[in-house]
Amino acid sequence: MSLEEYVVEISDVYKDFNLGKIIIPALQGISFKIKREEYVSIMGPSGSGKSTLFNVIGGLDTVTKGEIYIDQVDIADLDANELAWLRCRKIGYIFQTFNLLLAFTAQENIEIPMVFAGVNREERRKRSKELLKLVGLADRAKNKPGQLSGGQQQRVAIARALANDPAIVLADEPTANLDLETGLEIIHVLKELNEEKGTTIITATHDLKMISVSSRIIWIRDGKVDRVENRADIHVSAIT
Amino acid sequence: MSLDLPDPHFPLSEVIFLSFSNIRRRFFRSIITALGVILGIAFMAALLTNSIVLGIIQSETGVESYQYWLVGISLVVCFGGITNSMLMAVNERIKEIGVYKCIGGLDNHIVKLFLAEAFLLGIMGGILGGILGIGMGLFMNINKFTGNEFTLMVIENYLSFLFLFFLCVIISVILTGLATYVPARRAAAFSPAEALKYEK
Repeated sequence: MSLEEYVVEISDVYKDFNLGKIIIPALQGISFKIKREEYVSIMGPSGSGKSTLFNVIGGLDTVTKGEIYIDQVDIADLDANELAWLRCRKIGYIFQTFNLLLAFTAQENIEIPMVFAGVNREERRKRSKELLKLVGLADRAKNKPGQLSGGQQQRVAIARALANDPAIVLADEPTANLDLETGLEIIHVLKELNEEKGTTIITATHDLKMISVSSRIIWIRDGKVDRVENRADIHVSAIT
Repeated sequence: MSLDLPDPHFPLSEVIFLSFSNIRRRFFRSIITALGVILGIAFMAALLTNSIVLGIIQSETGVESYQYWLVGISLVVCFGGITNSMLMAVNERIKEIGVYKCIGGLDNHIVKLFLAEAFLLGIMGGILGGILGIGMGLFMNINKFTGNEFTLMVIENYLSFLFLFFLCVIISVILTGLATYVPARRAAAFSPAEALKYEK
């Protein structure tokens, strides 16, 4: 049980952005661990390094220094194909701007990660239907993203993130482009997944509505971990 | 550390389905891109047809040197037109490439997708451009013949025109393929984070 229970382990991660003459240190020695089935929110002001952290956890960007273990695999050691495999099977992504493929229907959008994973057609049909049902869009399978509202598109994105049954779901500002009520709906969908399917969820967010569903909050400031709080500790201060 | 990965297979039927959906969804944009290809090929085909016909008429005096210039220029214009269209078509979709990468697409998968699209556009552009260009090249010279001399000339030399037509299709496919492969390869090598925030 010692190592097994951590699905994400980050130790002493640095990330610099090299802009020619100046080097911008976005992450300056970040370390934390996330357990399986946790719901963790990464919070902090704009420019604190949230999105950079999101990108490096997800294998979307490389680190300058440090180690990142996803499901016991150090992703700093992986080559491009291995990273793609990891993104395909182990991690599901949800973005602020949904990032669905506009040429394809809701159902096809959910199936494409399975195409990359080599799942056969029948299995894909079956699974994508189940996932659409799970996010409450069973009747929207044939609609393209342009015919769906923002909240519905984000639900499709959630279903797509779950396509290959990932170990963690990473969500970068998932509610930032949605109105208050739709944002709450999306948060509830994520929370349900977390509770019912035991999916580990990590969000980088500004949205204080997230606090009430998170098991822990990691506050980031100037590329460092400012403090880590359990929900119980900040319940009152967040409401006021 | 090795993950012992299975071979990333990406069946051709899936590649074609995805590419076809992309072309259909971006129909208007695809038409514009295809027009660039068609016009480039048609221009080249028209000038080449013209020089074939002139060559037939002037078989005694020989082909004049300015016609070689025209053929050279037509090739350059064709190359420029197609490369430009395809470069634009890839560059405006770098963000989409980022999405493919986030959902598990390998660099190879993405390059394959773009090449399949280029192939479909290249075939279409070559066929339409070839027909249009050869037609125009013949039409330019119709008044140099009387009556059914023209028809006779076309029938006698149909092999040259057919050869030119296939040449058009082949050039079109090769150029669209190359002009897609290079930028697609480059874009696919971006990290997903870079591709996603790429501004056109």
